[in-house]
Amino acid sequence: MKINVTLNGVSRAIYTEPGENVRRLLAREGIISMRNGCDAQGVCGACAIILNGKVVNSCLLVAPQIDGKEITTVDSLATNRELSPVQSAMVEAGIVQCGYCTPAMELAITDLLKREENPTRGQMQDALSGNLCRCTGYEQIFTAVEIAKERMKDAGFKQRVAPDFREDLRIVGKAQLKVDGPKLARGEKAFVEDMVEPGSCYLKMLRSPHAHAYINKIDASQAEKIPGVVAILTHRNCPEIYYTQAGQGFPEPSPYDRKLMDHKVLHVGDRVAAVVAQSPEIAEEAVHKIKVEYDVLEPVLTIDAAMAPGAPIVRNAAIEYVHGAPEDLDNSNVDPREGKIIYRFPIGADPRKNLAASAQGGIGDIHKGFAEADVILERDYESTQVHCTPLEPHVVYTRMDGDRLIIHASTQTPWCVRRTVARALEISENKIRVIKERVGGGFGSKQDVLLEEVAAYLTWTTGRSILFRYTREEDFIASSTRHPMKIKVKLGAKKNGQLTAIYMDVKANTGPYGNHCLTVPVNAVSKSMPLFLCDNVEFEVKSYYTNIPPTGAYQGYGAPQGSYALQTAMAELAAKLGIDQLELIKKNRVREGVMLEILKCLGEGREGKPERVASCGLGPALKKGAALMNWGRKEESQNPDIKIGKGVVVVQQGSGLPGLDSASAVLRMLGDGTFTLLSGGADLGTGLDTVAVKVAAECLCTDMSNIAIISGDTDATPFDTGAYASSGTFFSGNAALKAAERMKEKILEVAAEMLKEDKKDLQIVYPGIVKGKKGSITYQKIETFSEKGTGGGQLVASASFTTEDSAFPYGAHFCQVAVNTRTGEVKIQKYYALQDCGTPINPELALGQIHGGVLKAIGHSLYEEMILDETGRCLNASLLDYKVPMINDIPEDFRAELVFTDDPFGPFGGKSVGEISSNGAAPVIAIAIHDAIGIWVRKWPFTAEKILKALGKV
Amino acid sequence: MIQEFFKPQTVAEAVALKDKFRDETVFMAGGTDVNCRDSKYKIQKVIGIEQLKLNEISQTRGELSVGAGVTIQELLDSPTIPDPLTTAARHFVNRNIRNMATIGGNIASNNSSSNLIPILVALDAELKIGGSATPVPVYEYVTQEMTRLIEGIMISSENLAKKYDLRKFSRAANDISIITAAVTFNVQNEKLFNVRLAVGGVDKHVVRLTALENKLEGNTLLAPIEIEDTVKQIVAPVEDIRGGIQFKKYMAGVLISDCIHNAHRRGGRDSS
Repeated sequence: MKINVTLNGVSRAIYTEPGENVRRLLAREGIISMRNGCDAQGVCGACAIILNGKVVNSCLLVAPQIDGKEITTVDSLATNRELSPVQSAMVEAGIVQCGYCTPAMELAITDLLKREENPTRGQMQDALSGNLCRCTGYEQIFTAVEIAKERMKDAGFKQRVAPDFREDLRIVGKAQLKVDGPKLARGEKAFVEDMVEPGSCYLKMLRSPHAHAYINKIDASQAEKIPGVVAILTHRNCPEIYYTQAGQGFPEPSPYDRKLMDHKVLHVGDRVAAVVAQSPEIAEEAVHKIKVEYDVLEPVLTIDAAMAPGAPIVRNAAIEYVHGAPEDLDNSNVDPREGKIIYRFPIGADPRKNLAASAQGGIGDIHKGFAEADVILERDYESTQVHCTPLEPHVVYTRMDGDRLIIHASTQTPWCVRRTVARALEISENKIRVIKERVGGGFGSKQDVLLEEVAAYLTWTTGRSILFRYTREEDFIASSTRHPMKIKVKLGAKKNGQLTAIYMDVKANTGPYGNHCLTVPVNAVSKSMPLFLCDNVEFEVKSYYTNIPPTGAYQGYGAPQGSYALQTAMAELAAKLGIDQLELIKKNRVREGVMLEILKCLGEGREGKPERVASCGLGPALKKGAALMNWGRKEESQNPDIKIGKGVVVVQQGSGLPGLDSASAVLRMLGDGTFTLLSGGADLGTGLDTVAVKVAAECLCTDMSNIAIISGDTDATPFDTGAYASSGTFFSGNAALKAAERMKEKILEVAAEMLKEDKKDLQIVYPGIVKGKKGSITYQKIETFSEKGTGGGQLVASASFTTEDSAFPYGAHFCQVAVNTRTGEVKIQKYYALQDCGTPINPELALGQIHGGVLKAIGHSLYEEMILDETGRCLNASLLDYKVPMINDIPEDFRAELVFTDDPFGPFGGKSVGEISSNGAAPVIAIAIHDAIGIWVRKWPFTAEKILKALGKV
Repeated sequence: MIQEFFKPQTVAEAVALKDKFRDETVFMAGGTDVNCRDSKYKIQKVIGIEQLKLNEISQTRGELSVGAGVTIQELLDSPTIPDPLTTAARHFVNRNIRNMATIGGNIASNNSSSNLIPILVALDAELKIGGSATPVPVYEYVTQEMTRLIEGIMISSENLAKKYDLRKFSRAANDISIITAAVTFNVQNEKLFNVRLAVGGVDKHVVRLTALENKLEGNTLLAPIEIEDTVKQIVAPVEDIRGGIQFKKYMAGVLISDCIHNAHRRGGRDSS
């Protein structure tokens, strides 16, 4: 059928089908800015268009519904390349992070400002009520709307969006335009799905309906006969190569326990057969024609079930060690269908007992510590499985270029992808190029190699270009989630509150694969215990294989669970001692200058070492937060059913992994005196590219616009371990800074020669001029001189950054909740997150990171939980049923504050800010709930049903 | 996938198409239910009704009339729509969906979690059915799971003058309601009359709590605990990912009780 639409002001006739989904139709017509985050459930709003003047979800429309109508998309907002007031306001306010939801938000705000000249906060929330954003926490949207509203009247309107830091610096510490902001605001090609060429094939995966089973028989013969099917991969025709999916530095502390297709399936959703076909419909049809017979085994779903004597063994595989094999290693009774597990080095595993990894350690004498205590408190806490829910599901596009494999990836770890693919395909790394495209949300879930290797293998073997994009359901059941944990905390203290002993026992459910099985649970300890100074500290960590959907890295990386347990236990201790909770924290908290001895037991798969706390902003954070919260004042509601309570917690994280992480950068000066910066860093929308450009521009006294950055491309840019462990600013930023410093030296050397002055008499000043005693010279002239046949060649400076020094970010989170004792609802009235990230390199983006991290943590505290039935099937594997907080769920008074400290190690003193913000919400809300209603909630999420049960009403 | 999309130009044509294709086809207004990935409608033929322009809103002395094609957002924007309906419309938190979903479509989808059906049932709303002169009560339409074309919704002014309240409970703001409740009644000499109590989320469609209606009819207001206990006894929800049986029973009791008492106290302003 033919329909007529007016698309962005231009009349178009479009040939279509009656049932064609409008989002897909418009994508076919070249409008790529409407994104698919929820597979046409109408939840995420990323596909929004304006249809006859109303903002609607294009995923819920079919072609006949738009016939004769006017459609506006983000493509019409900018004038040539100049951003509209709404677009420029959003970039400036810091609300453009990954950019996947940005076009839809822009349409909603544009529509709002057409309807309302001076919208209230409530009207702004209503306008954006249909937009899911996982990155930003929404709070800065209100600033964006205010700026846009004024800029529509006055094109030159400017508004401060974040405080300035570091008067001694020109641009570091001040809000500047995010370097990729305008591109994302315009809705341009940026993501993997935008790179797909005509004629590409599509991969669909047949997935296991069983949590634990052997594949007895698999018959793909009918599927293979379907015209358009290109290849089908099963365990019978895939290489016998084991690897780890973990995106970690080599050698990985995670076992190599998966191959492309296994003989045994280990979770509902596990891979059974990969079909490549010329269209997604053909691939889907073929998937349904593959016949599989399973020998179903009893699933193991919980930590208790995994630990139980006689429990079914989830991974009864043949075990190998590269180094450190135990003497009693016995593979004599292994069923070959179980496959292999290969350890690079021992991680305390015993798969025959479902033990994926273990660690223990301590300082001092824990028994003595408890013996000295006046009061001992022992509590158990539990966290459930939650999902990262990046708005862009996992996706990869692979193609051949000659005899090289090109992988367009939405990844946090391009070099891990390359290394893992090389291993899985048994080819050399130089045959592979990984290009990190813009990532529509990572949060740790895109740290691992979860789908890239299977698409890569099929492209390598067939020569065909392949798009493999997860459905939302696949993203839930076959990507990466937060490890469920059971944590016991035992605290000993004197009557005055001085801690004498801290013990934590962490048991983690790592699911079927061992990626991060050691390091996440250890992080639960390593990012919570060092917050309190105590001479006697001990921990035990065990991680168990089960058949739940896979776990992995998720923002915080174990710290949210550990923080929940330890911080809540400290609050319980305060209550038992009759001491104010804040006073107990102040008495025992970490301080600047102390040595964290416990860290010598807490290396990431290697021996740790004690670290000195070089900077710590907890003092001012606690002081300011307490004042903001009116700490100590009991709030009352006029409604007798509503009880109000307050809580406070302290949080920390790391800034990368000293001794393990490594980052590199290369700066090249161009003929006109501008630069390209090649950075290995993987910007997930967090602003890492902006950090790198900014620190380089600061060092070289030039404008940010004079430095173009290319990042995360294994051909074009130098090595970087990846964007995880909050390493970006500290490692990738420092590498860029170091490259800039070396470039500076080269510039001065050439300038000295040209000016015939002593190098030591020269200095670089803004805007990119070298000034001496006798004269001055521009960068352009320096480069022209260098590039000549008589010169020294183009100025290129490269640098790598590694370090053994740590830069710990810290924070204090305060929260006030109102608990409705009649309905069990918990409303967050106030949430204040005061974070010390040293010098905030990009303050407006740092604030967004804080809001976003906090809101994700509010999600797992109040709403989010993956619910499995007794067979291991996830019952809420969709955004309709798994509730992620949206704009109407944010705290009524939601503030992020940046607390400055002078850190000696970060680039211009910058420390991380991304992960730490996820660590506070669960404990601080739990503590506030107790303050309100006298109930301790020791298992998240704190749903109304749980609250009512605790109150005895249900 | 939809293979045929009809666009009849009159109600008669639309009804004729439905009569011809029966269960092979559904009516589509905004499409938020039919086009949703999880739609219960797996059909290949659709009868689009947007072009029938069933979007008039009018208030006469005796009756409010709302066209079935009026969107939820239009309910909010119209100065004619009274508070009970605008309150229910506000329970649709997602503005994009409000711009698309229609009052007629929401009734026809007949979901137990509907934000509109409870208050329409409590107000004894009636439906103008395409091709029929006989109005059908909303409650009859939903309990008999009818699929006939809804042209419009009528509510008598007398019913709109009753005391009312409506509430919903959901996990997060932008979530399907777990329990929805709506009540209307008249009060005379401290006694309640014409009591209507409607609850969603406790059965496969919205239900009237007739046992409790009968208990309240002609009597003074019961204490909250008595209302809650009665509700808990008469509803039979199922456990699902949004809540257990006892939790849903409890919430239904609380919401109904709060609705009744709030309506009685303040004449029907929703405080949910």
